[in-house]
Amino acid sequence: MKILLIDGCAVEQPAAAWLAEACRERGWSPTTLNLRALTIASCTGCFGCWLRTPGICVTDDDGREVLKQLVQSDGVILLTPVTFGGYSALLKRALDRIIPMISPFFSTVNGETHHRLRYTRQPRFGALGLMGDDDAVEAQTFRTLVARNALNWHEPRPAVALVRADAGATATRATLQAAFDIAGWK
Amino acid sequence: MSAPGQAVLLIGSPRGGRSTSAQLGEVLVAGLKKRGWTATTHVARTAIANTSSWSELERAAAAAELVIVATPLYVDSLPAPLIETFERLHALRRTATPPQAQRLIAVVNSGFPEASQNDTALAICRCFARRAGFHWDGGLALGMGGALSGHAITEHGRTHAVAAALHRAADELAAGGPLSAGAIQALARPMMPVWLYRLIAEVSFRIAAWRYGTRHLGARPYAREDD
Ligand SMILES: Cc1cc2nc3c(=O)[nH]c(=O)nc-3n(C[C@H](O)[C@H](O)[C@H](O)COP(=O)(O)O)c2cc1C
Repeated sequence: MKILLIDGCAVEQPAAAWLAEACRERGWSPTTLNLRALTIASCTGCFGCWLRTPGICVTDDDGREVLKQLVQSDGVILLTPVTFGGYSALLKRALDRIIPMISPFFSTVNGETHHRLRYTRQPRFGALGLMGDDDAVEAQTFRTLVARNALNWHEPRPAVALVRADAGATATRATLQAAFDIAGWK
Repeated sequence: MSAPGQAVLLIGSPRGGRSTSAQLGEVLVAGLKKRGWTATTHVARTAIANTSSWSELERAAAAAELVIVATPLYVDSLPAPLIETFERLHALRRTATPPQAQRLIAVVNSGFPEASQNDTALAICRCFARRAGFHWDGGLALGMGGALSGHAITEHGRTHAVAAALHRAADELAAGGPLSAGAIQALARPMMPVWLYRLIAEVSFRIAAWRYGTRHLGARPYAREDD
C-alpha cells in the first residue's frame, strides 16, 4: 500500500518518524508530507473547485500537490496535535483544500446527507492524534471528528490512534499497530 | 435583566461579511444592541493576516463580556483561520487571564441539511472555551446554510423561523443566561424538507457551473492510470 502521511504538527515531532516506521513494519510504503515546509493558502470558500475547474482548486500553490498525492495514494494518515479536540490549524489549512476530491452532488450515508465521490478509488483514511494531557473530552471529540470525516470519505473503518505527545517510540508504535488491526488495514 | 455589556462577534467564514455566518451573527448582535449592548465584529481570516486587525481582536476579546463565534462547518470542523485564531487566543490567555468573567457561544451553519452535523464543530468550540477560560453558554446549529446564502434573514417569508430563534437566543444572552434548549431546537428546525433542499442545491450548482462555462463537473484530473 502507498500511504501518504500528512504531518500537520507546527513543531517537528518524533512521532512522525515512528508513524512511518509503523507503516513500514506492515510492509507499506509511506511518504511523509511535512506541511511546515509547504505553502498552502486558506480555502476562500468560493467552490471554484467544484464549479469552475472541477477537481482542481483555483488557488495554485502546494495545496494542489497535497490533493494530487492524496488521490493517488492507497491510504492517508493525518498526524496532528489534538487541538481543542480537533486538528491543528496547519493541518486544517491543507484539509480545507481537499474538497475537490469529492463531487458537489449528494448521496445518503447512514441516513444522512453526504457528497458523492469524484474518484472511483478512494484511499483509506486514518489519523494519529498527539495529546498534550489526558483530557477525556478532547480525546472523545477527536475520535468523533475522525469518524465524521470517515463518513464523508466513504471510509467504513478509519484507523484512529491517540497517544500522549511524550509517549515513547514503543508505546506509539504499539498504539498504531492496534489501531491498524482494529480498522482491519492489511 | 443584567446590565448591557460588550460583545465580540468573531466570524469564522473566509467569506467574511458576505457569509451566512456573518448574517446569523449580525442578527444576534442586533438583538443585543437593542438592549443597549455594544459590539465589534472581527473576521478570523483578516485578523490572522494583519497585525493591526489582530491587535483590535485581541483587545476586544480581552474586554468583552460575551464572545459570539459565528462560523461555517468546514470538513466536519472549523475553518483553518478560526482554528488559528483559537490557537493564538489560547496562547495569550494562558499568560494573561482577563479579570472579569467571560462567556462564549457559537453558531455553526452547515451546507448539509441536518443541523446535527455541526455537533463536532460545536464540541471543538466548547473545548476551546474551557481551555481559554471562557464560560460556555451554549451552541447553536443550523443546517441548510446554503438556503440563506445571499438571502437576508428577515421576520417575514421563509427565514422568519430563523430570525425568531435568533431573537430568542439574543434575549437570553442579554439577560445574562445561557442559551436555552428551546432556542437551540428552534434554530435547528429544518427550513424545508431535506429532499427539496438537496434538489435546489444541486440545480443551483448546475446553473452556477453553466454560467462559468463549465461542462464536465465530474472531471477526474488526478486519477491514477489504473482508475
Ligand atoms: C472547504 C469547505 C468544507 C466544507 N465542509 C462541509 C462539511 O463538512 N459539512 C457541511 O455540511 N458543509 C460543509 N461545507 C459547506 C459550508 O458549511 C456551507 O456552504 C456554509 O453554508 C457556508 O457558510 P458561510 O457562508 O458562513 O461561509 C464546506 C464548505 C467548504 C468551502
